[in-house]
Amino acid sequence: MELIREERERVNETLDRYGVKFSLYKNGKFTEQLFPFDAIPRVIEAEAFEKLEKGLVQRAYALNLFLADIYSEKGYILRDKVVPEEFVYNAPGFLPQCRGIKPPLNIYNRISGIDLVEAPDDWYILEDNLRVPSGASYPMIAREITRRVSPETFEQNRIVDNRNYANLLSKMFEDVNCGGISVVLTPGRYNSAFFEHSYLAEQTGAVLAFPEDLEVVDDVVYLKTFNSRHQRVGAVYRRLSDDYMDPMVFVQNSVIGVPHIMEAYRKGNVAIINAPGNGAANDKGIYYFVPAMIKYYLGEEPILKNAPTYVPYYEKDMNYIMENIEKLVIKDVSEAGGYGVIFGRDLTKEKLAELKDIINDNPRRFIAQEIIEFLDLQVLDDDGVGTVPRKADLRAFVVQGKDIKVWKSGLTRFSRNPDSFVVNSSQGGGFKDTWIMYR
Amino acid sequence: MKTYEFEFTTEFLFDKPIINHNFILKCMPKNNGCQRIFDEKLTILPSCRYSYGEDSFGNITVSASLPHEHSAFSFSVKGKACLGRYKILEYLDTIYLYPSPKTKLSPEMESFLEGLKLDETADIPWAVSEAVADYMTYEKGVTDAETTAEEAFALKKGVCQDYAQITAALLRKAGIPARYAAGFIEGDGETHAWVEYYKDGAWYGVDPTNRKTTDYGYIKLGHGRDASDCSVERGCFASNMGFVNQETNISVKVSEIL
Repeated sequence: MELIREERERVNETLDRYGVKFSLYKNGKFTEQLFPFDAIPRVIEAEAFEKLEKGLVQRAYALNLFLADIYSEKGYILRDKVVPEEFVYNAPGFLPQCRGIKPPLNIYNRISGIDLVEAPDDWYILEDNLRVPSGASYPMIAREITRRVSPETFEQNRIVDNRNYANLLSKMFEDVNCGGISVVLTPGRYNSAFFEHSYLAEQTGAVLAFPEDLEVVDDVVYLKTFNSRHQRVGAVYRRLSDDYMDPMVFVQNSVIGVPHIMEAYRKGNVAIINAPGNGAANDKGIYYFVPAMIKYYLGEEPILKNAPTYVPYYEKDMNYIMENIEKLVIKDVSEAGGYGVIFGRDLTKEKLAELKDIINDNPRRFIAQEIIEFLDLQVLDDDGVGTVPRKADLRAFVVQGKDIKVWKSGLTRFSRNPDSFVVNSSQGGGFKDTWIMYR
Repeated sequence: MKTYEFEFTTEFLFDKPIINHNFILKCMPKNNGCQRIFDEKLTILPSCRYSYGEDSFGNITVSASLPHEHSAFSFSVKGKACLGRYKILEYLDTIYLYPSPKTKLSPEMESFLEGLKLDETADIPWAVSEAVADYMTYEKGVTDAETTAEEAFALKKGVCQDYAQITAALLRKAGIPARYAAGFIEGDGETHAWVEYYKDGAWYGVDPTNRKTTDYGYIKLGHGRDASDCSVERGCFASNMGFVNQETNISVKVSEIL
């Protein structure tokens, strides 16, 4: 560990040279910045991780059943009123244009990025990212570089190798592929995660495709090549959002979409990874119901806990929120990336009253959660000599093909600001590698 | 039962040549409990290969691409329709109880609905349809295909699409499943829009623009939560020569075969 600390400079230099960047879009300006790497890894003992693994598999599996259910004609969970229909049909991520489409193997969330935090008593799930969860490439490349810089560390410790993420992905691509090659579809160089798109394409052996490289002919997707002998595409790991996927179905003036790709998908000629419409299960309002989903579909008790959450839609919860607002965190369900998160304790009396009114008027728009005092991790200070405590979370990746696997690593993000609980990379935090280690 | 002959043509003229033209048409009327279509013929110019499909709302789709340069584009559907009384037996899809992007209610629309003082015994769809017809003034050119119910309501003006979207939005708020329907009515003119509402296991229709129920003589092309779910034509294209202006000519002819 000490060795890695000493080599901090070299590691960050190498990351810079590799172009491990994260772009920020703030106040109308586009800036590319290094996603700062902290050399001290987060260590999770293999035994503890095993429990997480079980819980993550259970959760991702149930979320998939939920998506398959609500996008089929049946909608059992809605009919049985376990999840209120209006929560689903009004969720911004619910796409009625996708109803009745059966994705290959009937899997929607082939890649789930599930965010957790560790509190003194246990781990808690903060969020399920089932649309286009990003960030896996950072620990992959950090590991690669640290192994190079300090091979001894990895000889002396029993650290689970995390370089198999690309294999998990490419195996899943194969499982769902409808005939043809697999591509990683990137919206372009100016996307905040372009580095990751190109890196994952390279690592999985898929072709990195820009939207203009793909075309649909007779409901089949092809990759255009220079000699005009087009190659059939059977799986598209797309890194652009649903809204821009296909101007024939979603946002009409999207120039980064692939026209007619949804028709090819509907007819079973291509797999789109992740399935369009997954946002319905990703919604902060739906999060509340995930434990109920696990019980409903699997008949099991949830292994991993949700943060205690209140949904103002229910009168009981509304009353609780009104009485305890100063100790809760309020989240706008339509916002992502750490935006629209308000801590009651940070607000003045007037602002609190204002917020209460807004919640009263829009009960479906917000959820409230108890603040989890999650554990600090040690982060190197600016000189790289001492350490400082910072809040951190963990994004775990679950990949579902024919089998369902948790990647034995994950992206640990920490906030740079000592007082902040918001660790999203879009808010200017940093990251750590996550080591699953045997004692 | 009456039989009609229909011919529906849409023509686009571009002032500069366009390329990479992709489009999806929902211009084919479909058989249902009260309409039977036969002798149907679709013509697309310039001619191209196309594929049929069905969207998530149950509408027939025609998908195609015209990659090469062209400055005019048209499609035309001809056929015959045998129509019974407008009543479509179907299981209820409860999605039609919820607002869609174009049928969200403004506070003004909510108070408008409250002001109608509808009671349970009234024929609510008819009452709402009439109220919308009273409130709105029919005027072309003030709204377009993208106008939402909320916007048209604020303008107090619009065309059949706006009337139908407002009525559907209000009915849903009143707890009645409602969907937007697009199609033709007898005579010469353009495509038309009306509203279907669900009652006792079937969909029925009201036509707020014409202050009618849709019992006879309505040929349906498609339906959805709002107009954008069943747009007759949706396309995108590129041009190497800058901004393209387009002219659209629509003609619909429906006549009864006696």
